[in-house]
Parts: sequence; C-alpha cells; structure tokens
Amino acid sequence: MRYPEMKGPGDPGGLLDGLAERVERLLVVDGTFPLRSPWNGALAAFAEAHPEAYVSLDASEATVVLAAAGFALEGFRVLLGPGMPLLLSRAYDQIRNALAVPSLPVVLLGTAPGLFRGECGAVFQLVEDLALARSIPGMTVLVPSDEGLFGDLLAEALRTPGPVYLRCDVSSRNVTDREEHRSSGPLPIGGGRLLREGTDVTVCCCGMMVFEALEAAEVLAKQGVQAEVVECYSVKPLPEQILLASVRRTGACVVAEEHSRHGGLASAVAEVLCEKYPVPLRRVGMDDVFGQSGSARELHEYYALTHQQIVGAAAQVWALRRRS
Amino acid sequence: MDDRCRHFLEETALEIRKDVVRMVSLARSERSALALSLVDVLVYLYWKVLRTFPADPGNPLRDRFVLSDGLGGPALYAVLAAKGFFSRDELWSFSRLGAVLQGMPSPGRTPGVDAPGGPPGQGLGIALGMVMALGKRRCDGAFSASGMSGEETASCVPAVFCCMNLEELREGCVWDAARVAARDDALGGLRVLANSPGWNGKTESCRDEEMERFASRFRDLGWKVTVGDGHDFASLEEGFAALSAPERKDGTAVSSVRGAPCGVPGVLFLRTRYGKGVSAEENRDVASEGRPVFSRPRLDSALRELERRGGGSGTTPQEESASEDASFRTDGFHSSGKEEFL
Repeated sequence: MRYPEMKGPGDPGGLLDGLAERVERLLVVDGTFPLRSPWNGALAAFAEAHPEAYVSLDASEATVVLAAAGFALEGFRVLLGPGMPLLLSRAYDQIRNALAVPSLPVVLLGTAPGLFRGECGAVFQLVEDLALARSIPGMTVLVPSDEGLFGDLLAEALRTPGPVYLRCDVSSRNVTDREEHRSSGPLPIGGGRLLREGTDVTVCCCGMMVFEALEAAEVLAKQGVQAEVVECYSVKPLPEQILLASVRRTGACVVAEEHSRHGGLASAVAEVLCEKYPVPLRRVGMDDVFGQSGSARELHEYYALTHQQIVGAAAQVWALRRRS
Repeated sequence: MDDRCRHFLEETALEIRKDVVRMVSLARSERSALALSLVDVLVYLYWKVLRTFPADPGNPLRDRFVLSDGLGGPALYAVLAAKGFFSRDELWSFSRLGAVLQGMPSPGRTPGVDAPGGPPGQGLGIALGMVMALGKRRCDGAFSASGMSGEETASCVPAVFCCMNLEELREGCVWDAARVAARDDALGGLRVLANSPGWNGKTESCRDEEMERFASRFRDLGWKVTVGDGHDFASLEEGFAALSAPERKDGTAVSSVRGAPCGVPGVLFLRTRYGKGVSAEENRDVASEGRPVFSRPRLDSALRELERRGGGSGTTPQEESASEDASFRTDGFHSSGKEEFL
C-alpha cells in the first residue's frame, strides 16, 4: 500500500494527454528552467502534438505570469507552469495583482509542493504553497491524489472563470477503481470523495496523505475504531457539507496533509468546524520548519507524515469525541 | 499637422486637463501630477492613433492600450469618457466606494480599459502576452474577413500600446519582457510609450541622463527607439509615425503599416512635465507629496489658470465667474460641437 509511484515528481508523461481536445482555446505557457524539470518529456510531447496550444517564453516567472495575464485577457484558457517549480513563491506579486485581482482564467500548476523533490532540500520544497494560494481572494486551490482525479480537475479548472492553483504531485495508481470513479461522473470543484465509511472518527486528507489515511484506517479497524476517510481534494472552496455530515456522525476529526500545519487544509477544516460544529481535532502535517535534503520517503518519516501519526492522532480525538 | 487639427487637439487636451483636476479634487486624491503629464500623449493617442469602438468596447479589432502606471488613471478615464466609452458623470465618483472608475485601471469593471494597472513595471509583460495572443489569433483567422488579401488581413491585426513611466523602467521584469519581445522579428505590434516626466527644471538633466541610459538598453536589445516631446502635438505626430513604421531587426522596412505582426517592437520616449498646465502641481516639491492639493479655492484657481493658459477660446463666462458649483459643470465638453473630429 505504501509509497505509490508518483506521477508528478516522477514521470508526468500522460498527465496532459487529451487536454487540448477537452478544453477549447487552451494555451500552455511555460518559462524558465527546462533543465531540471521531469516535465520536459511530457511538455515536448504536448508541444509536438499541439504546436498551436504551446508557448515557451524562456523568461522569469514574473514575466511569464504577466504574459499569461495578457493571453487570458485576449480570451485564452491558460495553463501555466509545469517548468516553473517555484512559480507560486517567486511570482506572488504578479499572480496576485495581474491574475487574481482581475480574476483571469489561469491555472497555476504546483510542481514542487511538499517534500517530493527531496534531494534539492528546503528551497525546492514548498511546504507552505497551500497557505500562499489559499489566502489570495478568489483563488481556487485543488490537491488531487491520483492521476484520474488530476485529469478531471485540470479540465474542470481550465473551465473555471478565475485563477486556480493545482498541485500535481499525484499517484499513477488511482485511489478508486477507474470505472467506478467514471460512472459517478467527473468530480466537481468544491467537492470531496468519501473513500471509506466509518462511524468513529473522520480522517480528512488530501494529496499523497490520502494513501496514508487509507492505511491508517486499516490499522484503526483492527483496533475496533472505524475511521471515515474523506478526500478533500478541493481545499478551497472546501466541501463543507460533506465534512460536516461526516463529523456529525463521528464527533472527532483528524486532518492529514503534506504541508505545513499552518494555513493549509488543516487550517481550513479547523476554521469551518470551529464555527459550525466544534469537535476535537488533530492536525498531521509539517511542523513550523523548512525541509532539508533527503529521499522523499526518508523525509516523510522524519517529518512525521505517515499513517502511524494518523493512527495516533485518531486515537486521541476518538477518546475525546463529541457525543451529542 | 494643420492648424485646425492642432487647435482641436489642444482644445481637447484642455478640457481633459480640467476634468482631471476636477475628478482628482473631488476624490480628495493627491495624485494628479502624473495624470496631467500624460494628457497630451493620451489625447493624441486616442484621437489620432488608436482604433477604438466606444459603443463596442470588447470589439476584437480594437487597438489595445495598457496603462502600466496606474497613477495616470485619471487622465485615461477623462479621455475614455470624452471618447464616449462611459458617461462623463462617472468621473465624479472616481475611486469612491462602488465606483466604475477604480483607483487603478480595472478591466471588466471599466469599459475601454484593456488591462489591469498598478504595481510598477507590470504593464509591459501583460502587453507582451497580448501581442503574442493577437498573433496567435491572427493565425486562427480572427481578424480576417472573407475576400481579404493577406496584406489586408495583416493590416487588421490590432496594435498593443503600453504606456509606462520612466521610473518603472528600473524594474527588472520590464527588461525580461523587453528581451523576450525583441527576440524575433514577430512582435512589431508592440509599442511602448515611455513617459519621462521632469520636475520643474530641477531634475530635468537627471531625467535626460536616465532616459538615455534606458534608451540605449532598449536599442541594445534590438528595439526601435524614438524620442519626442510629450506636450507638442507636432512632435508627437512625428514620434508616433516613427513608432508605427515597422522595421525588421536589420533596419529594413516592413510593407504593412498598422499593427504589423512582423518587425521589432518600438519605444517612444516622451519628455513631459509633472502637473503640466497647473502651476500648483508643476511647482510642488516632493516633500508635499501625499497631501491633497486641491482644496475648493485652489481648484477654482487651477481651473482658471488652465483657461488662461489654454488660450481662452474654450473659456466660458460661467467658468470665469467660478461660482460655487461651476467647477463641476458636467455639460461643458460634449455640447461644444467638437464631435465632427471624433
């Protein structure tokens, strides 16, 4: 179960397949840094298949974002940034003022979120990306866990009228059966996936922590605690109703994310639950520190982003659960 | 340029200046110096250069205008109102809660505003994206009608003008965008107006020095560089003519004239003066920056001064008497029979 093969940081080939057919007036705009990106192959294939829908500017993040604003103002649906891992932090001002303030339809890909670019160390590990993106008014924030969901959300994001931040560290193995997933229709922005039903504790998770949460649920089940696993792939807008319905049943909540505990999914969930239905809550995520070099697996262990942490946190909140 | 035309432009610029002073003072804003320096440039641009469709502001054939330094907003708004993009009454609620006219230009909110403005240096990157997008849309046939020859189609591709302040050229991302724009011979539709205001003689030599430094950087990158006087319509005519004549990197001319999809981009440096036309603004020192200038009596004297400097023929008796509400008359402009030139 552990360590699914990662598509985004590993080999992103195929993530852009079929996109040009699904989205009208699509334009992939890219900049800087072609050397280090694992996206090179995928981008080259896309550019070859759809030369009219690909622009490479070979410029800094700030300039690429501004140019993307120009493209969007002229009616293009812009997908930005597979080759710009630090887009969100380097071009924050331009994203805020040129994309978000006029609310332009541009999708920003997060290609270095979390700890998966382990060997590069803190600089290329944006453990605060969700906090940055979530705080911009009108910005949609999406964190899919697997390839199927990524494809659906990317097409959906490109139809959204405003800016969207989409993390693309996804597993090539789908969480749910592909056919089953398809039969229920594409998942909407603002939705969530109920991956496992349970009555005792809600485990809310996103991204690679979905796999950890499912494993934690197995362990908890052996101990007699039935965990309900909700994938909150839409960090903003948050699927409040799904979340509230779940915690009303269970009376306790754990949030697990590959992100700093400050300002990410856990903060978003805590804000909603505090106001609408307070229950005991624990956050599993990075402490208030930067990462360091190491393999992704080592780093996830070191910074306590594992199913053991989720099991421990679930046991704590379950003991304190709200009974009403 | 014949006298009739020059006279019309001067009259128009005078009315725009008065509107700028009125709207800025109504908004209790301190920001009119830059806007006043831009008035003549914008009047020439909107009446003589740009292809605009005030009744259909989103028309894809329109020439685009990006005002990079949002502080010049009042001048742009007064010009757009005079062109008929929106009612002139909107000027009087400039930067108030719920206003159509935001402190910084906001596309989607204000008809005729094509791009967001505000943070220094932002405009050139956006204009670069726009001109590349227009090139792509031209390939899709967005600007060609049936029966047009290739040349005619090329002449229908809109140009993108980006107006920047000299101070903005200190920003790094401006030069990144300038480098990308001049990389190949394909973005000739991009024209930059570099407004270079001087401050009452004191800093004009520094201004000229800085202007020359930036001009040579543009030249090094392969841009076509022209310099003109931003308050002299004959000089503006020459400057814009040079700017709009497309040129390849090797200096050879390109046949089609308007919005040429090929050729190198051009920049027109324009010497102007902060607060042009209103001595209270022209002579302000930097220390008083940030304080509203136009109290009611000073507004009236500024308007009277504009009348005097403007040569008088546009003067109306009501304006001279400057009664309490004369400053905000909203009927002066459109009733004077100038539409024949629009």
